[in-house]
Amino acid sequence: MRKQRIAVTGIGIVSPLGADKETTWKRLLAGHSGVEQIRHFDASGFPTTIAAEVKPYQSSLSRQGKFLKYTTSFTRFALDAASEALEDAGIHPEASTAERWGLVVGSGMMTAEYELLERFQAACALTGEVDWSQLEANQDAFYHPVDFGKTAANSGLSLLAQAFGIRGYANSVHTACASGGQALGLALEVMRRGDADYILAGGFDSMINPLGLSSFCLLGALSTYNETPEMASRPFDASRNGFVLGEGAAFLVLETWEKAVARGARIYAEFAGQGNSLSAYRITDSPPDGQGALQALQRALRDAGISASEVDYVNAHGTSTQMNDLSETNALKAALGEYAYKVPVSSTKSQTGHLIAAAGALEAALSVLSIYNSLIPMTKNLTMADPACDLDYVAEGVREKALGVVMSNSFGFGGSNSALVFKHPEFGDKA
Amino acid sequence: MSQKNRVFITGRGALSATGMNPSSMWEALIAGYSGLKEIQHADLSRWRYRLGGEIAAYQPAKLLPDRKLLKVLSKQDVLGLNAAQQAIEDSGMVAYRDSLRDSCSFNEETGVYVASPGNKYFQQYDFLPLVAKSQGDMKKFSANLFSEVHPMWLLRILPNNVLAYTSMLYGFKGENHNVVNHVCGGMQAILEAYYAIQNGLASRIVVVGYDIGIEPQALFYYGHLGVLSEDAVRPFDVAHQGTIMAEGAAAIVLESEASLSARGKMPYAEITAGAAATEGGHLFTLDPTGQPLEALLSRTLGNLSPSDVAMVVAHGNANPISDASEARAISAVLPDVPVTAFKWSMGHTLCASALIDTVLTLSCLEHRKIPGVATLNEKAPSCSALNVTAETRDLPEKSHVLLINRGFAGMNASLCLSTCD
Repeated sequence: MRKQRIAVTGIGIVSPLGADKETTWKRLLAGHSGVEQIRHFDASGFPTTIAAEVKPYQSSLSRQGKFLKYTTSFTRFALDAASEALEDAGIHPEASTAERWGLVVGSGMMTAEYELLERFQAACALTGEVDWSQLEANQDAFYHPVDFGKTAANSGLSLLAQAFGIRGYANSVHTACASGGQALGLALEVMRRGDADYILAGGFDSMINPLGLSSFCLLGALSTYNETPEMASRPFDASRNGFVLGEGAAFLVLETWEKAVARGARIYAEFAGQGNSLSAYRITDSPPDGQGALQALQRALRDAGISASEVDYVNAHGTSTQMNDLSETNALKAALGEYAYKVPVSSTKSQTGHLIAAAGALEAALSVLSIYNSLIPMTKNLTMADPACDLDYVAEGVREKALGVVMSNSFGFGGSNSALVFKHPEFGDKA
Repeated sequence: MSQKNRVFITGRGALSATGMNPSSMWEALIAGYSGLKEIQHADLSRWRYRLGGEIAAYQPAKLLPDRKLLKVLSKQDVLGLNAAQQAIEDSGMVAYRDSLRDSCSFNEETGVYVASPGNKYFQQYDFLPLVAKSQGDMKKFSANLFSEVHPMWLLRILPNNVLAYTSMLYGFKGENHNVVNHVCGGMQAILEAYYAIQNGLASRIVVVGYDIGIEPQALFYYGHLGVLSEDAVRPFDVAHQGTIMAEGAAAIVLESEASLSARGKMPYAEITAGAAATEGGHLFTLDPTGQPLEALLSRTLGNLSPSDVAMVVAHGNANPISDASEARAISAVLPDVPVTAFKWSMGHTLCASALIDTVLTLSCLEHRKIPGVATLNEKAPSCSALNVTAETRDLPEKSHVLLINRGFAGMNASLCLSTCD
C-alpha cells in the first residue's frame, strides 16, 4: 500500500537570526550570526556570557489578547512562528475543518520562569529551605492565577490550539534536543494513518535564563568563546569548545498531498520520511561510531524510499561539541557509505545557536527552504576541520544546487535520535 | 505495507499508594480500600488540602537495579523506572532475547514510549539556597553557582530520564516518544505505541507513565484552581467536590502478534482501538456538554455496538464538571453499559493514571469483575443515567472494554481493550 504523501505548505520561524521566515533565511544566507552577549539577564559572571537570543521584535499577538497573560517568552515565540506558518500556507482551521486539524509540538523542559522561583523563595524559602506553612501564610501575596497556567507542561500546546482553533489530534513531546525532530516525525505518522488532514507541527524553547544557562555551565557543555560570540559555534572545527545556547520556534503546516494540490497551494516540499531510534548508550554521550544515530538515518531513508546516493544535502545536528560532531560524522559514513564524502553536510547551528527542543523544527524549516530555493547554507566558523570530521561541511559559503532530497538530523540527551527526509515536490514524479 | 499488525499486552507493572505491584493494587481496589491519607513527605498540617496518594515506605534503593542511579534520578524517575522493570520482567521478553543467538535486531525492534510529567517545581528547589544568597544579584548568583548546585543538576531533571534509562538498562534501541501532555499523555503514549506496532515501526514497545501529583507547590495551585477534595474522591456522587492527587507509575509491554507467537507468549489482552483529541478550549476547562468526548467515544467504538462492550473504565476524577460531561458522553454513546472508575482508590496519578487504569483493567478481565466505586453513596443528578455502583459486579461475558482519560489542554483520549480468545 502506498503511503499517504504529505506536503509542506507553510513555514513560520522566530529565530536568533530574525523574527520571521524571510529575515531568518536572508540573514542565514548572508552569513550572519545570531550569537551575542546575553541581554535577557546579567550573565557577565557566568563562565559563558554569550547566547543566540531572539532579538526584540514586534509580536503579531495583540489580536489574541485574551490569553496573552498565560504566555511566556517561549510560548510567544511559538504563537508567532505558528501564526506566520498558517499565514504562509494560506489556510487555517475553520469550523468545518477544525477537527481534521492536528497540532504536534516539541516543547522545552523548563516551563517555569526564573522570576517565579525568585518569588517562591521570597514567599516561603527565605533561608533556602522551603517552609510550607509560610507558603500557606503568604498565599495572597504569592498566588497569581496565571502562574499555574504558564507553567503547565502542555501550556504551549493549549495556547496554540486556542489561538488557531485546532480541535483535532494534539500532542506534545520532549526528548531534549531531539524534541523538534521527533515532533515532526510523529506528525508525519499521524497524518499517514489518517488522524488528520492538516497538522501544525513544530517546536519552541528557551533555556536562556539563569537556570538554563547554569545547568549547561555546570556540565561544562557551552562554548566559552565569550570575546568572539559570532565565532563561538564552530561545528566540526578542531578548535570548537562547546555549543551555544539558542532560543526560538519554528512551525510547518503539513497537509495531505491531495488537499494541497486541490486548493492550488504552494508546496515547498514533500515530507517524505522519518526515522527514530535510541542509542541505549550514555545519558549525555553518543556512541563515537555513530550507532544509534545510524539507525535513525537508515530508517528515515527506508521510510522515504530513498537510496543513499539520492541524498543531496544533510542539515546536520552539528552542535559544535566534539562528541556529537564525531558521532554524527561516523553515522553519516555508515548510513551513506562512500557516498557520504560526496554529500554536502552543514550545520546551521553555527549561525543560529542550538535551539534545544526547537532545534529540529528550525532545521527542518531551513531544510525545506533549502530545497525550495536550491541553496545550501554554510557551516560558519569552520576554518580548521577536526581531522576526525572529514566530510564536505560546506565551509566556504552558501552553495547553489538543485536539491531533490534533504535530510535533517536531531539527537538528544538521553539517546533519542531523529532523522527527517524532505523531497523536492517534483522529485516523486520522476519515480 | 500489508495488513496492519495486531497489538497485544504481554507485560504489566505498577506501584502507587495502594500497592507496590499490580496484584496488591488490585486487591486494594476490590476490597474497597483507599490509600489516600495526610501527606507525610512535607509538613502540610496547616493546609486545607493535605490529602494525597503517597507511597508510604518509599525506599528508592530497593526500587532500582543499581543504587548508583539514585545520583542521577529524581523520585518520579525512580517510580517510572521501577514500573518499567516490573512490566519488562513480567513479559519475559528479556529472558527470551537473551536466549537468541543475535539480540541486535530484537533490540532495534524494541521501543520505549513514555508519558512524562515534564519538569516539576521541586526540581528547581536545588537552586533556592543560591537564590536566597544572591537576592537578585546575578553576579553573586554566578559566583556561588558551582559551590551551591550539583554539577549534574540538569541530568537529574531531564524529562526523558525514564525513557533514557529504560533504553540504557535493557539495550532497547527502537522507536521512542516521550509524551509531555499532562494527564492525557499517558493514554497517548499507549496509543502511539499501539499505532507504531500496528504500522510495523516496532515489534514490541515498553510503555510507561509516571507522576508525583503530590508535590506541594502543584497542590497549592490545584487547590486554588478549585479541583481538589478535602476528604475523598467520589466520582459521579452527589457529594463529588474534586480529586485528590497521588504519586505512582505503571507500565505495560505491547507486542505484535508475530513477536509473541515467536516466543509462545500468552497475552493479557489486545488493543483494538483508541483516539485522542483536544477540545481546543482553555487550558483548565472541558466542554460541559461532553460533546467532544462523545464524538471521540463514537470514533473509538467504530463498528462495535454498545452491546459488545462489557465495561467502561471512566476517568472519574470526581470534579463535578468533568464527571457530568463524562457521564453525558458515556450515557449517549454507551447507554446502560456498566461503568467504573479507579481514582477513588489510589488517587489521581495524572500522567500515570491511564497506565494504572489499563493495568487494573487487565485484572478486571482476568478475574471477570467490575470493581465498585467504594466512595459512591448516591449518584449526582448530572450522572443519574450512568450504570455505576458501589458494589463489585461480575464482568459480563463480552469481549471489549473502553477506558477514558482526560487532562489539561482540553484533551480527551480513549482506548479499547479486547479479550484474547
